Amino acid sequence: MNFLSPIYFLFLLAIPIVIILYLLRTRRQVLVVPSIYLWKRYTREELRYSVLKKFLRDILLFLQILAIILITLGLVKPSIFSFVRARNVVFIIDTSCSMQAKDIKPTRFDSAKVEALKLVDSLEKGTGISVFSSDSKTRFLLDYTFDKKKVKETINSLFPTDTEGSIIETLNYIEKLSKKPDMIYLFTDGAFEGEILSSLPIKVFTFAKDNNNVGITSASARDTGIKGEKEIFIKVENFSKSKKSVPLQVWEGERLIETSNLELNPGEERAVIIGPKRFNGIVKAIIYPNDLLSVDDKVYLTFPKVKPSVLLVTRENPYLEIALSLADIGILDKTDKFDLEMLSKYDIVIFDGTAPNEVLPGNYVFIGKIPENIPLQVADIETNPVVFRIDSTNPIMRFVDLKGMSMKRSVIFESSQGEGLITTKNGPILWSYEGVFGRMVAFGFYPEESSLIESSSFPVLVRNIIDWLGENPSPSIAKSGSVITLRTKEMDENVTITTPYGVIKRITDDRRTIAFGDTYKAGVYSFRSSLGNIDVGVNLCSASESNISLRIPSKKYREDTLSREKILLNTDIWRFLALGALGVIFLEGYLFYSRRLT
Amino acid sequence: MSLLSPEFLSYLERLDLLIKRSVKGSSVGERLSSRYGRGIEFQDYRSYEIGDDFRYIDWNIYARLDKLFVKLFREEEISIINILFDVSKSMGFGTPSKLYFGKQLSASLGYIGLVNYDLVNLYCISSTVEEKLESLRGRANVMRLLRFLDVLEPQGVTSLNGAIRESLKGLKGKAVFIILSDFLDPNGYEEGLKILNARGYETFVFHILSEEEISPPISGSVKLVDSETGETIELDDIDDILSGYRETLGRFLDEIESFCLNHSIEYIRASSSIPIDRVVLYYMRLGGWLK
Repeated sequence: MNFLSPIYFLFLLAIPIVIILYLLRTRRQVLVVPSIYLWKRYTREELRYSVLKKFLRDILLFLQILAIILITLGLVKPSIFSFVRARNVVFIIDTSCSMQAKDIKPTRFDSAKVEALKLVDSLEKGTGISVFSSDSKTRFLLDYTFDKKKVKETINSLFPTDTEGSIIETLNYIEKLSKKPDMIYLFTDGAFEGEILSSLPIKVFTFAKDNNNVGITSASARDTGIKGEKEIFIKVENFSKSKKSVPLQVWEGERLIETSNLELNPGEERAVIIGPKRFNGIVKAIIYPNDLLSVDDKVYLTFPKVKPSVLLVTRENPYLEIALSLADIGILDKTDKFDLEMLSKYDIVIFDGTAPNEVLPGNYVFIGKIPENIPLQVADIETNPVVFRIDSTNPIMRFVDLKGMSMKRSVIFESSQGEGLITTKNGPILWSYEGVFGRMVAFGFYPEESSLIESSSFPVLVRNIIDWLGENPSPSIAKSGSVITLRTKEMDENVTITTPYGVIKRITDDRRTIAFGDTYKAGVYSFRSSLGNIDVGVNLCSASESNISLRIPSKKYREDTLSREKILLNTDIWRFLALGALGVIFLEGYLFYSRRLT
Repeated sequence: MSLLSPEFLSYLERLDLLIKRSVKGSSVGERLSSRYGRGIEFQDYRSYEIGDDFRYIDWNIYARLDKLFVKLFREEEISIINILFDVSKSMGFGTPSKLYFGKQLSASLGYIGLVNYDLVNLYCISSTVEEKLESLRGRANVMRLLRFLDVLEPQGVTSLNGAIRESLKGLKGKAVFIILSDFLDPNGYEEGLKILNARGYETFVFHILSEEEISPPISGSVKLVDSETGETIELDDIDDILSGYRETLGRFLDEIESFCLNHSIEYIRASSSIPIDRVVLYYMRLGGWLK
């Protein structure tokens, strides 16, 4: 036995104090009697009431002394050391989406948890237990401990996520640990790709019986290039061994926009195209396959309309500023000096009469001047150019009437990429581009030097340009378990995130962004910030996870390296001592008051 | 005279101590002996034997039967009554005190002895014979006896065995011993009583108790001081042990009673709170002490 705080043995000095107080408090009435012969005879012998015997008789005093001893022992923190066989084991609980399958009642995950808890109980004393969970990430939950209660609490706190699994990565991680386990206990359904090639001894407990599942394994949207219309692609795959007839419904908000029935043979995958259409808000595709896993039966695609932030780099241009004020803009800042880092903070940057030598990929409007690193060159300068062609099919030129437009001069562009929106017979003077550099619009002329500036079409043109540049080209969609990054207007801004599992508040960092990674449940995540509401659809979309069939054998891979080393096991007993002291104090109180009542 | 009322004394006049054994003293008294001898009360005849006193030959029978018979008479003897009265300090307790009660008893028994022309000796004992009043005989000594008793105070430590041995010194012939005590003697009483019994003395034991000993009026934690020895004993929660004390007292009284019964010793006990007239006129008569 060892004492961690022996200084507290001084507390034993309280015992003589209690005895002294006990002696002081006993005041007896002195009575002269004829003879004490009969009293002595009653008490059998004189020694019975000697000082020592008297103390023995007074149970309250002894309870007090016992309580002091117990409290002292508790304070000095005695530790009992015993030699036990050293053994460190790691529990890996698979918390990936497929563990929610209900082929084992109530679910694979619940069964795995029960088995893991049973195993914890059955492990011999002195086994160090560490706990990991594995979903899209490896989560280290508990370091090696002998405290089984703590281990069980940790295991009980786990729940299955809607994410892909990463068992192989988790095993690799554990293999790289400096304190390697003697045994790994893996609780999984074996519904993952890859082979377990661990150099460490591992026992796999598998929980899978059936593979009856049909899931949506892919969802995306593609721009058709026609007036912002998009097509949604959904891939549905049948992983079961039987032919399945799967009804499909697509909802846009509360409106059912598509319905069909998919006949899927075993192992067949089918792509479904929805649209083209201008989708708005949340689009939800649901299949009803009557299978074992429901998480992969629906996907969410959100089509948010976000008001862009715009930086106007200009010396002074009241016409342009008025036109911009009429456009649908979130933030409009104006400056005449800039740097590249500053430019990256805005969705759209408008260079009026100036331009840097180089720009980073992004959305830009160049008026009069262009940088050197964009796929556009100046071919010529034309005086009094005459408009030859206007591409009225382009969304930028919608409702823009340029009849009779004149201008003093204009730069003629030359580019193999992009489109000429207004063209003279020598080349484009208004050019748009969409590609790896982002989206760009370049004016070869200064609007204020043209009749356009006084035309009602100028604000329409500016609005169209802003709408096009600020348009989100694809729906907000993310894989469950991935990190969603969002930029807001201010630093240290409170962003309220409504998730499928509750409301969370986050504060943006000094780059005005938040990185939200707790997307372990599929569904719609709403980010409320100064820029309004941004919805992101988080989906599983994983063929590997939707295939819930057992793909690894359930066996002991290696179990021959159990450590025979013996270690000292430290068992704290102060809690028991404190509990004992408390019990003694209660007993003393009970005896004291019962005596008073009688 | 304050110990006994004149009316009570008048009752005592009619009583006599019922002595079963021969208690012949050195002189002739008024008490008939079970033995034959000199006296005036004819008892029987027997044949003349050489050496018999001619004065006791019944000549009338000789005339009729021509044989010599002598008349036998019941001897009249004097009774020696030794009252051993425990006057130790422990007797000073009780309401009224055991000492006062003992004085009344001693006076009563002494008075009975005196009016019956017995020889009365009063020994006030504790560890030894503290005071004594000897050779009282006849009514003339009643006042002497009462005055002697009146001034007695509790004194000394009880030692019955020693006191009995002390009182036997110089005593010749048969006698009656009446012992009045509370018997609270750690050294016991058995040895003394056995000596009396062995010597053939008829012994009467009157055990005096006080109400305070039967039901001690104490509670809580007390320190009891022995009135005789000054010894102390500390007791806590005395209410819890009172029943045990009473059991001990009961066993103590039973032991004395059994001892006396086994040794043909008359035994009566009474509380000092009982009126003396009831004790003497009722209990003692009922117990066969008085007639």
